[in-house]
Amino acid sequence: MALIDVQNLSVDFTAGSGKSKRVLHAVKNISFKIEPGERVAIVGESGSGKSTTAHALINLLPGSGKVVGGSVNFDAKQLVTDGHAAQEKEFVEVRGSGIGLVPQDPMSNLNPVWKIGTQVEEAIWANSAAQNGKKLDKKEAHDAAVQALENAGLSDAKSRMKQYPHEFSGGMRQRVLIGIALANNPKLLIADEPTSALDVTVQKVILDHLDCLVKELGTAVLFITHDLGLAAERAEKLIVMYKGEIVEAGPAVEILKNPQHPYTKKLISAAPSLASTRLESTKAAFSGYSDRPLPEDLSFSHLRNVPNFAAESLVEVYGVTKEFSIRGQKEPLKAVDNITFTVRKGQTTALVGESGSGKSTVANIVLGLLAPTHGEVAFNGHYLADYSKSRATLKHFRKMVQPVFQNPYGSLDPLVSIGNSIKEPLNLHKIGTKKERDARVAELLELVQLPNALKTRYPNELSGGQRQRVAIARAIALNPELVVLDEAVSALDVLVQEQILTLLNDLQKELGMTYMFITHDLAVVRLIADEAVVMQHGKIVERGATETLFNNPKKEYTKNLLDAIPGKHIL
Amino acid sequence: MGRYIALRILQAIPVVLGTTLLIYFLVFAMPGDPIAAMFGDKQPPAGVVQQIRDNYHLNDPFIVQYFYFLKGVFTLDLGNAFNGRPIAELIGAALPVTAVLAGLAFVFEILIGVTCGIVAGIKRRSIFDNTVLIISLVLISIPTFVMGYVLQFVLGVQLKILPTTVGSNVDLLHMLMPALVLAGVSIAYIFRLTRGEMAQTLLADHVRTARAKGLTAKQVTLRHVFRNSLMPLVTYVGTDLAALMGGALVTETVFNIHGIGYLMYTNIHKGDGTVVVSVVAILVLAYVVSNIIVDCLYALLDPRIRVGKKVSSG
Repeated sequence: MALIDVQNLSVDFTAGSGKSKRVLHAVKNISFKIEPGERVAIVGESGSGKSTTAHALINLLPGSGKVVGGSVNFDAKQLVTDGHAAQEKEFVEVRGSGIGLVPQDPMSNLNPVWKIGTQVEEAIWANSAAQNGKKLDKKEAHDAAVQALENAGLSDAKSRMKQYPHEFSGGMRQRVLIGIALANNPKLLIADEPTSALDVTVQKVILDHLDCLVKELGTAVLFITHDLGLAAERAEKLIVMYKGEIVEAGPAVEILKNPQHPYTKKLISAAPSLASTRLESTKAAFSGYSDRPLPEDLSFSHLRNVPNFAAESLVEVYGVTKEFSIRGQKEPLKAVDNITFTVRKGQTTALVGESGSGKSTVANIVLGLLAPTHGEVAFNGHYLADYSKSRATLKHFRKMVQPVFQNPYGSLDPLVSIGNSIKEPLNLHKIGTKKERDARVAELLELVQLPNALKTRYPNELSGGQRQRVAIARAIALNPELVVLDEAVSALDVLVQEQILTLLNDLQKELGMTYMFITHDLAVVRLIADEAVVMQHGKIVERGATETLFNNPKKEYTKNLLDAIPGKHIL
Repeated sequence: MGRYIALRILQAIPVVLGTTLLIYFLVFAMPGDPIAAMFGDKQPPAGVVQQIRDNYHLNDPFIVQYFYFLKGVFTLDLGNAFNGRPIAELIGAALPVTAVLAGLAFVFEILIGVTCGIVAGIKRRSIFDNTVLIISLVLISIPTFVMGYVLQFVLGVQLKILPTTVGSNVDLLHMLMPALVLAGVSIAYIFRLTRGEMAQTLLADHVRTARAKGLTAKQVTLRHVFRNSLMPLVTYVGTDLAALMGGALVTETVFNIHGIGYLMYTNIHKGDGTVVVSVVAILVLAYVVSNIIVDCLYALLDPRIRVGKKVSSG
């Protein structure tokens, strides 16, 4: 008999009331089964209903979410009957002891005011009465909690029980959450994007550990993920969801090799972790990298020429170190430690590394937003430090170098219309007449493939992908030489991510721009970068052409990073 | 933790000195000669005026006067009021009265405000929630003295349930109505604060995780929702305790209570600066002390705030 049997489950969200009431059918009539010890993954983009499905099983739907149809049978208990969820009491019994949950974001899922130990002990005494029929005493709960943390792979668990969540890294917190979820040895574990907030190598270690644990305990797992590669690697069975419906389900390898539904095919082709070559552009190549010369102006005479600046380079970084002093510590933190690399004209150079590797600091130094402690940066044959010596040259530099940031929600002013956001750099640099600027906005919207009608709308009316297109349009408005993309696609769904990467690639070919691409995701590097610089702890580990780096990594760290790309071993 | 508290106390010293200096300056910079006011139309002999001036150090420079005042504060000898009674004695008589009033009001605030806030925060948009929300809006809009007179008239004069004024009967029964009036606005604010915080915290990810552990609704509400909602509440309640003592001025006047507020009110009228400054200094101290207590509670409630301790960001 199946461990959990979901039949025709439907979930609705309602907004407003009376006449203005709107109903969103988040999950429509879905059915699936999970056998004891089986690992199943639900895959889909955001809004596909995958998380809603998982939360419906344990009656933890957010807001106005409500089960409106179908039935759920778990371990011979009827949790949902004909669209009616059982009493809360029944769910309290099942949660923790029957079904454990590993939530998505380890940073927000532990209560900041309680000790780690308290939060694990809580999970144990909450269920002990139901399982053993007696309440545990303090000592027993404490020992069980230490055991749970040790099992979850947290080193030094006993002393860490007394610490608070803010003293833990993301990976450690996720181990705590896994410990809590498995503390009562549940029969089913729901893992909702358990590692998407973590660095790729940490992700691999944690998922490997989770794999071992559930195999040992015989726990069935329901993975919720947007990453097809990860799903196929970690689960035997895949369920692909699209707009609240199951479009395809079956054995993982089979679906990956022989997808039937067009949506599944799209997902597979978009999954960066499964791709193997750089994107090709169909656009006609930009003819000749015109040396956009400095405007004839005497005030620019203080720009010294950099000796031996290679003709094909746009940016050269020589031995740059950046130190930050930390309050209460004598030794400053070396965020970037003596790095040297080149960004070639018209190419994409990727800076890859995990959080804390110093890659964003390098981006800010190249953007001229941070000054290096030691070393020099040269842009277009002149020292960057010289540019900032006068307003005119600094303004000229800002015109040639533009950033696109990670969060498209945060980088657009919510009170400024899309058109005005894109127009702002043109206004600042006093380019063209008002009419010409409007024409330029229309042209830019077309370049990033957004309808012209969008210019009067506001950021909150746009999707994440559309907003990132707007941010790109704003960045290229001034025809910059260099665009610094700081995790520009990390916040997007795979399908949107693919669209944006294709767009960036086409724009580069058409306009002859140079990209500096900051990312933690090696899979994305392979799609877009010509050269890659791998960073760790502020130092460069390895750099070279992307192809060479992927096919023949020299350093152990690069190998580990490549190895950690989920889904690598599937195809 | 000890270092944290010590740091807070050290920080309080310049605050106390600065504020008392400022108040001292404001009161004695006021135009008009207090000695002339004492004698009204009569012309006092020059020798008497000189002696009074010497007694109160009125001929010394302002800053020297301030140091005499500070010395008085630390030796608990605040000097005499213009009517000849020692100021320490006046305050000693008034302070316990106000303390009872403010304390009782404080208990009302916590009991009514927090309890209603918790219930309304959990059951948002219910009949209870809406009713209390409307009442709280009314409480906030009506000035304290209006509320005082209305209650006096309805409960005291018409229904005769509670005594109308206090006078010399400083007991719980007589203080009940003034305390309710004094607490009124704060009850409404605390209710709204608690309600909002509860509703906000209910949506937090870690609350869902707590439920997923298998905790019951009651356990989750107390251990995770209410516990986390406490922090902003403590900030408000802490500063409010001191504000209650200062705010008692209006209530004490309406109900004829001879507390700190009443003492200050009458002496401002008389132009007796020494008394006013001493009373205000006590109120400043009350503010500073309750702020230190709030800061310590804060550190106790939120482990992330304990400064002076190395925190690894990991």
